[in-house]
Amino acid sequence: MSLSSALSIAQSALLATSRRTSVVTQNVTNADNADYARRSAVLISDQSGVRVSEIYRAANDSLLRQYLNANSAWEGQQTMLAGLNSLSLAVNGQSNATSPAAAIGDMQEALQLYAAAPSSSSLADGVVNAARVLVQTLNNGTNQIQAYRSELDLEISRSVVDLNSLLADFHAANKAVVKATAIGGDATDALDKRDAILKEISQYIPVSTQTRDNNDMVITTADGVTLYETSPRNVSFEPTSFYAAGVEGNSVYIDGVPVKTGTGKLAAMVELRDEVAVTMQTQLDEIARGLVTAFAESDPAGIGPDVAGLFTWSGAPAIPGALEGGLANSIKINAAYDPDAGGNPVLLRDGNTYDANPDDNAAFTDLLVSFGNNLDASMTFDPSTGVNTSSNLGSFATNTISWIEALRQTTSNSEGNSSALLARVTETLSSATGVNVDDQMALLLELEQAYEASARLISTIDEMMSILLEMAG
Amino acid sequence: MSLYGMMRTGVSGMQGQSNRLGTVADNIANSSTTGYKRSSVEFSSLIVPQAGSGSYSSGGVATTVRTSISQQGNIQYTTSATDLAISGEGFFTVQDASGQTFLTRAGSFVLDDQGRLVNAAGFYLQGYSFANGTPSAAANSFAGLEAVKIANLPMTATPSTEGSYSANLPAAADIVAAGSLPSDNVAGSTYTNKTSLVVYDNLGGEVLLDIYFTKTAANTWEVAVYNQADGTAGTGFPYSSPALATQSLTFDPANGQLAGGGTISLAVPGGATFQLDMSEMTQLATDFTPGSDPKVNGNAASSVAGYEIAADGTLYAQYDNGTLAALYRIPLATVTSPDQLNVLSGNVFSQSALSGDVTLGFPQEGAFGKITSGALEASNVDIGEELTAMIESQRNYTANSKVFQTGSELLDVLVNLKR
Repeated sequence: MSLSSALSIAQSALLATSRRTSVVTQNVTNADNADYARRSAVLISDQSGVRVSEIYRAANDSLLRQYLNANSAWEGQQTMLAGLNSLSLAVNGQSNATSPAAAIGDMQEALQLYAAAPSSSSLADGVVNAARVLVQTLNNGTNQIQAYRSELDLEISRSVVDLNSLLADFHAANKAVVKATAIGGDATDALDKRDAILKEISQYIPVSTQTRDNNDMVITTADGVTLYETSPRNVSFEPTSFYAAGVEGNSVYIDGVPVKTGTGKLAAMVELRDEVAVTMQTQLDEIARGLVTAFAESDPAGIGPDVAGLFTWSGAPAIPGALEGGLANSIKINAAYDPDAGGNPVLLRDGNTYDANPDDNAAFTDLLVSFGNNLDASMTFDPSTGVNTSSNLGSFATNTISWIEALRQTTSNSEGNSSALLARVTETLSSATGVNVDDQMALLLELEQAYEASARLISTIDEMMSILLEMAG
Repeated sequence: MSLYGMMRTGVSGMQGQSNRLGTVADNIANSSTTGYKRSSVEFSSLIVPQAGSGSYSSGGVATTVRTSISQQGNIQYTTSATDLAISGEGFFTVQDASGQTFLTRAGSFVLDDQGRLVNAAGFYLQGYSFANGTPSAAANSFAGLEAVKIANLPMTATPSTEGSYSANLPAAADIVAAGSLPSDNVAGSTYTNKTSLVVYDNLGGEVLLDIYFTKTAANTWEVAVYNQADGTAGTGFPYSSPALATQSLTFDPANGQLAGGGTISLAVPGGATFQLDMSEMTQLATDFTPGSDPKVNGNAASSVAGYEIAADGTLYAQYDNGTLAALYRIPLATVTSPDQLNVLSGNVFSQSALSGDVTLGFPQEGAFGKITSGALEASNVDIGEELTAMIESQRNYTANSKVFQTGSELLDVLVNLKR
């Protein structure tokens, strides 16, 4: 048994070493692949030498789980921050230059100038022009908010399509893993692919995973809704093509359960669409209501009802008593005051519906002063605006800017934190499961030596054999 | 007489050594033959009864051929699952084309055109089929054995009959009032949590079960199970057919563990009766958290992906969804004295008068060894040993020829005494 078995043992060592070298080669070529988990060959020795019993894949489930959570959190906050930035820019402009608050300030200034010289019709023009700018600001803001909501809706719809196709890919990868595990084959490539898809899914929605027999994976969302179990669950969403104030977007359903707000890109987009943008719209509507109310005309005789004055709206001549959805869109300059529409801006001084200055006194300022006072007086705003409900119109408009800036600040902070966390977790995951080229190169040197030693054994045994043969010859 | 006797002794010595050289030649020729067992020659002396103490008549040497059948060869690993090696005692039972049964250790089996496993020497592997239930070995006869045949296996599907699901239900959830419970199956029914499970019907089709958990009173939850295919798109409710099952779960307020209603029985549409075990459910003051492994048995229609032969000799068909189906069990045979078996061409052995009767059994049972799939038993010949034996035999043969030569020369001298 001796020489022949020595030869076959040395041969098995050669085979095992070359197999291990191919594993090292695979590791080194995938060193830059973030979705690749390091492999190593497990050796066992038996009576006929040594052999590679399995290829071990350096996976770390708990780190992967942390990565998935950190990834969803960061993606969600990043989406939120980008959304807040574009909403703030769309409504308030660069450095809040075109915000309703700035336009209200200009308006107040023009009104004061006119009140100081009520005989000047050009100053009256100035007030109407300032009012026009203000109305445009509100109209534009509404359009921008609603356009952004439709854009988000489209983006949600694209994400849902993407999520469904990721789940279909996951199904294929999971089936490959289960099959390879069940028949004792090499599942490492399929596992890499499955983990990579899982990472992509976690961008959209926070997931938690469970592993069953044969490495079969079950994915649920963080709320416990099934996303994948044996087969992918349907993620459905009915897009809304047109958005106006008060139009509610549809929910995203996973396995028939609506997605709640939470972490992840999908939840952030739903929150932007249904909460942040809606609140901003409410704020604009309340500013518009404040304007209509402040410039309303009242009957000096105290008989007729208050009617809409300089600022009018779709429900005019009535004055909206409470939050009116879409008011910021329907608010416009009363044509009677608008010189461009053939109106007379001086009516601002004298009154339109009710003539407050029947003598047409050129120095009459009572009405103008009352408008200025109205603007400075405290009003009550709807609590759904999210800001101080009792303040004057100018402060309210400024508060809305503070509101979005504060929100942006908080989101920016948490985005910074989650980005740092993600970077740390990615690094830890990579050092736990990734490839260290130095280690692999050192291993390669060892393998080279082992191979050389085995080859030397074979040539020595060969020499011994030839000695025997020479003796026989 | 003694000179002739001496010459004949030399001849018998030469014959003995040439027998030994014959086995050496065979051993070297078969040093790479799978399952080959080396032969060797044992010598025994032949003594002629002596007439008196003063003279000696030489006898000779008798040879007996021994085959080291019971000596294990090295196990060498291959990449074919149908290559089989026995570690330990036992032989495969194989049949030749004419139906005669032999024993062998050469397990390099491949599939033939009919799906039978045939080894390199053309012998067919025999096994017991699972077609009529779990087989048992007939201890002392080859009855019941048939050629192992693994071809044209049909696709199979198994309906689900049992499964388990566990989760923690949030103890602090709001109570849902009667009237809009999932069991009422009205549009906009309210539930606390929902999950879904895939089960298989009789044809292996996937049926998605929507499972609703609804808190109806303190420590009491309603479970309603619907077939998702009947649901309204998007939200589910109302379903076009009534709930497959509704059940009330009660929890022990002392520890949050399930107190009653742990098993739900329902008829899967187009499938079997399915028992869902929910005994591990809890109701603790935290969020809805699915448990670690929802399990459902049964499988979708799947085709055979490969074969696996376990160490106990069971040959399984592997379906591509990972399930295994036992097809054959490969028995091992042995005799009392394996080294005395008749050695025949093709690395097979047959029972001889000296070997004792054949006994059958299954691998890893009793004295039988285990079957390793994807491995072969190499020849137990060692070249070094054979070469030394060859040199030794060569020298002995030369020495014997010298004896003969000397006898011949002495006879020459004797004949030349008379001129």
